[in-house]
Amino acid sequence: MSEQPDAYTAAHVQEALARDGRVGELGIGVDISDHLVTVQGIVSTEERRAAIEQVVGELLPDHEIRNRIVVEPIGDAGEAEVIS
Amino acid sequence: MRIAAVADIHFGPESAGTFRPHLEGIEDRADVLLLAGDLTRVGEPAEARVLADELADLPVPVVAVLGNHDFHGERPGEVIDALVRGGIRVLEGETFTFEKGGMRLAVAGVKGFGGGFMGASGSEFGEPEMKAFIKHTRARAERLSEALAAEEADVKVALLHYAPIPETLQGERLEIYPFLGSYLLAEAIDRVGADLALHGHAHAGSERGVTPGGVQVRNVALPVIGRPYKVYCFGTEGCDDEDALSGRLVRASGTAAG
Repeated sequence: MSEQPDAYTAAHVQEALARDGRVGELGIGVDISDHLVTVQGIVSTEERRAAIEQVVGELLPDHEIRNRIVVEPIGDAGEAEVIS
Repeated sequence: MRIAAVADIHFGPESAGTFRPHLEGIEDRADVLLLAGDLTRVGEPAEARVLADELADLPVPVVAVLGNHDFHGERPGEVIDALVRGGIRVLEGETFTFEKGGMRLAVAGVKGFGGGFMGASGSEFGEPEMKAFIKHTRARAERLSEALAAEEADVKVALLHYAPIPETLQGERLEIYPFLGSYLLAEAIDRVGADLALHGHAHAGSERGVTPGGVQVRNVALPVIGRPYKVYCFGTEGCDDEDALSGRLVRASGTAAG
């Protein structure tokens, strides 16, 4: 049996990031190539960004992690829309 | 009537103190705050308690539906209890009414569910699991119709988590549309009529759309609106006060904006 293709591993990592109670994010992009895992997406807190890296590190301890998760701050209330 | 709305705030234990500062002065800009689901990160009651504390004593009523994240912990009853104890009204097939300035608002709320959209949707056919999937959506849609019909009001709002139309999903991958919403929800809204339908769930979607029957739809997922809430204004009271609304007014009458 050959080693599992990276595409399957990436899909399983993506599912784990949704299920894991420390993360709970469904929209995280995961790409794996040559033992380099790249995660990307938007989260609301620094803690959640760090949790993503932690979970990926636990799942793939022999991979390097490139964390491209962006923490997006909440803006001002801004404009309203009149619906008529 | 000024309606503030947001979805997908995904509160976790670390979120305490991150949202409330953005709600200061909301009573000057809105009469009610609607939360269109995914209030928590993974549906743990402790997360709901953090959010309830964050919204405690807000000077406007807070009305919510749950989202899929709020079910992940398989304790939705406890999540609802925590929110209700914090003064948040949680709807699933019920209607919240509110009056101000002689105008009556009715908010009909259901979570909704997936299944897809016209021409590319699932059917109650085949395996029991597939039938159960679509039956769940159909049941939610029927409860939405009943809730919308339950109250007479000047302004009727359908509050959902899942999307009723594909237009507000634009930006998401087409392959996941069936997991993001269902046309059965739009059909339920158009059957009874409403002035506005609000949903979340689609973080990469688009804000604006309209049902085939002409009801305005807005995706208020936090990443879509990029602000703590968006205000939608009906009638005249407060709607022409740019200072009170804190910014530029955009008039949308179905087809033209500006």
